[in-house]
Amino acid sequence: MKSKSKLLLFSFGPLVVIVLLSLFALKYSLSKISDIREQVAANKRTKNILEEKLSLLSEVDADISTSSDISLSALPENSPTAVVISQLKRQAASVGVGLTNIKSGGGIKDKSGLSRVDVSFEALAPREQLLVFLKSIETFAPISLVTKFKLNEIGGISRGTFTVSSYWAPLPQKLPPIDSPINDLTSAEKELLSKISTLTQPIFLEVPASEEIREDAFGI
Amino acid sequence: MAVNLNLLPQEYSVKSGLGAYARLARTLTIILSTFFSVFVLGAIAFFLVSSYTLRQTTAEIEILKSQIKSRQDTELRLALLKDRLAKVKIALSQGSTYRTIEKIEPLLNNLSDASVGELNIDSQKIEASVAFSSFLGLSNFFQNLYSMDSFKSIVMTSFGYNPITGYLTNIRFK
Repeated sequence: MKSKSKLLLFSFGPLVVIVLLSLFALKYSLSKISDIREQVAANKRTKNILEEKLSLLSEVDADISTSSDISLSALPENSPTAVVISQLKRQAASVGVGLTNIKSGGGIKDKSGLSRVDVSFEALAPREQLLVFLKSIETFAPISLVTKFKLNEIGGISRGTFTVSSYWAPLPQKLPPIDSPINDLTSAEKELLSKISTLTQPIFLEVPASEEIREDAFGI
Repeated sequence: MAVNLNLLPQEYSVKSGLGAYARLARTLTIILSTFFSVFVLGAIAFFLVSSYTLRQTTAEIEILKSQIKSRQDTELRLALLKDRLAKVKIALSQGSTYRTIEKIEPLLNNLSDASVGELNIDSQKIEASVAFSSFLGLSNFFQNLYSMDSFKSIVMTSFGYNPITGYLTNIRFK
């Protein structure tokens, strides 16, 4: 009986130990292998995204500054009332139209989600000149649309009453995370950029700062 | 002649069935041990290679991130550009009289012996009040009107005649 027990122990014991050890090692290593494979795959995906992103940023680096400035000029972040009035006067002068009674409202939130300001004014000129002027309004930046136009003709003189709407919107507040993908402009976006690049840009004058400080500006 | 002597006492002898199982168990133990060893070695090798690859790609990712950070200004400008273009598209889709003016301009440019008393234009419609000093002017105007196909409807809302001032008509275009 004793030899039988010994035989059983020494023959089947190691087998049982090896089987249990194998099952444990298999379960443990399979889960670890799966984890590490996922991590490696995730790293490879992130690396591909970052490589594409870096390649795109390198490609657009040269022109992006000009393009973004053009887009910001077309749709500024703040109310463009002063710029719009300046552009209207410039445009009117170029077609020989005089503007009077220029008024502008405060900014309002348009139903489109953008903010809007309406500038109204009157102009006296022959009908053809007024129509040329009206069509030229939508060729300058910031984007301005003639939403209403009224024409009255008396004795050969035409008086036009215009309402021009101009838009603005705040800048985006959040940037996507560094490892999120980025796409180049679509063909529709490139076409739109090309269109707004032709808008007549406003002229800004830089007034040099005066170093002379007058203590009593009014001479009192 | 060789003789096989079993010196083991009978009471200690092992039955032949159990002995066979014992041998089978020992064989299985050896085979399983071999597979187990190979598996463990393979797993260790895999972990070593994968850990190296993981460290390598992590280092490459950090380098790429620092390169992208150095181009953060470009990324900001690209995000700004896309944002502005989306909003420009919305702005340009708002109502404007530009297209409406383009439709009616040919009619206005071909007016003869006529003056536009009042013209009201918005993005949806046009209302015009036109005075004609002669029947010829009126006739030309209506001929041009009939040939226009860019409006959904053209409605004459009033028509009058005064021997001194001539003909006066109000028309709504939609």
